[in-house]
Amino acid sequence: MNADDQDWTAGEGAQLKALRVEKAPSEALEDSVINEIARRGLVARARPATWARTLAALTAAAALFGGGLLLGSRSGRAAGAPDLPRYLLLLEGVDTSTVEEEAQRVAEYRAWAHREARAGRLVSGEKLEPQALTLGAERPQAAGGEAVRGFFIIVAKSDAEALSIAGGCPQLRHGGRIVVRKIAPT
Amino acid sequence: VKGSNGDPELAASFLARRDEAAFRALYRKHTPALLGLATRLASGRAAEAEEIVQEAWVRAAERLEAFRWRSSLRTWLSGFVVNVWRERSRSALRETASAAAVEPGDSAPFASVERIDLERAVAGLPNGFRAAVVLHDVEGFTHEEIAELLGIDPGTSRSQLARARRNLRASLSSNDAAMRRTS
Repeated sequence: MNADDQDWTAGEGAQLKALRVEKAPSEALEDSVINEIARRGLVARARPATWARTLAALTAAAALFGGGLLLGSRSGRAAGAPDLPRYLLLLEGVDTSTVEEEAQRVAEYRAWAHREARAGRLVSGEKLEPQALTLGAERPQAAGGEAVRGFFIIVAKSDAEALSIAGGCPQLRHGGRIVVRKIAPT
Repeated sequence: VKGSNGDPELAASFLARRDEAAFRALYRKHTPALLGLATRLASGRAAEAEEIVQEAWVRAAERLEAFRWRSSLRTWLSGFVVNVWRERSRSALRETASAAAVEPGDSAPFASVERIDLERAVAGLPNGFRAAVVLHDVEGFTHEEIAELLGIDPGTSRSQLARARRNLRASLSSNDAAMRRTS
């Protein structure tokens, strides 16, 4: 018997071809692969010295912003943009009243942060405790600092781009405010 | 590059600076297909499939510099998946040899078989036969590509596929017969 004797009918062949699938890998697999090839010196990790610090920051931010950051850049600066100006986004004043609202908020921040991190524009983020500790002279509206609930650090080519990135943050949709401050080069 | 699928540029970027972002881009582009292949070869065992894909990527990262683009990157990467899987399945050849000794006589078409039954039958094939069917009939590789992937002669690939198909038909026919007996 030769190979031709065992050809499939068209229907059989189509059924077998239909078994071809693509499977989404687990998130852990990508990290595992990158870590392994980095260990072998096959890939250059940007700023490895800042790894632990940034990971800690991202983990803290995950409490507020849902963990999406962990999937993105873990370098001290966003990947692929080491020389761009950095901007601080101060997130002010959004309160949630229900658990459901909080869950919805977390999902929205996660999606935004994940997208920005993957695009190489997000460096880090943190949640801040509500109580501010102050030093120095009293000034009017000193309590205003307590309105800051968290921050992100991003990279952008210009003020306009920084505003554009910040404009996509869910903070604004929920009636909050974002103060954008350019970080002075050192 | 006009007509490029982007792989050569990403690979060049990775190799020039060992650029992590370029590697991640290649990884994200090709891993779903590689994982699908590995899962099929590993008879649906998801954890094993991920281990295979991880090892395949590590080897690919080590050897990408030597890749000459005579095949597509996807095909080249698939070769690592197949070979890692083969190394892990040490009994593959012995299993195929013993299965081949029992030549099935029933070769009725299975045109109306359910997908789940077909998946089970493919998963239940001896390793060597499963590789032949998965690579040629499911993934669509040519005998020449399979020969390159496995380091065998194209004629060997053809004859292996013919035997694998006989085995698959027999498996499906016996399932069918068992169903008839129980109904």
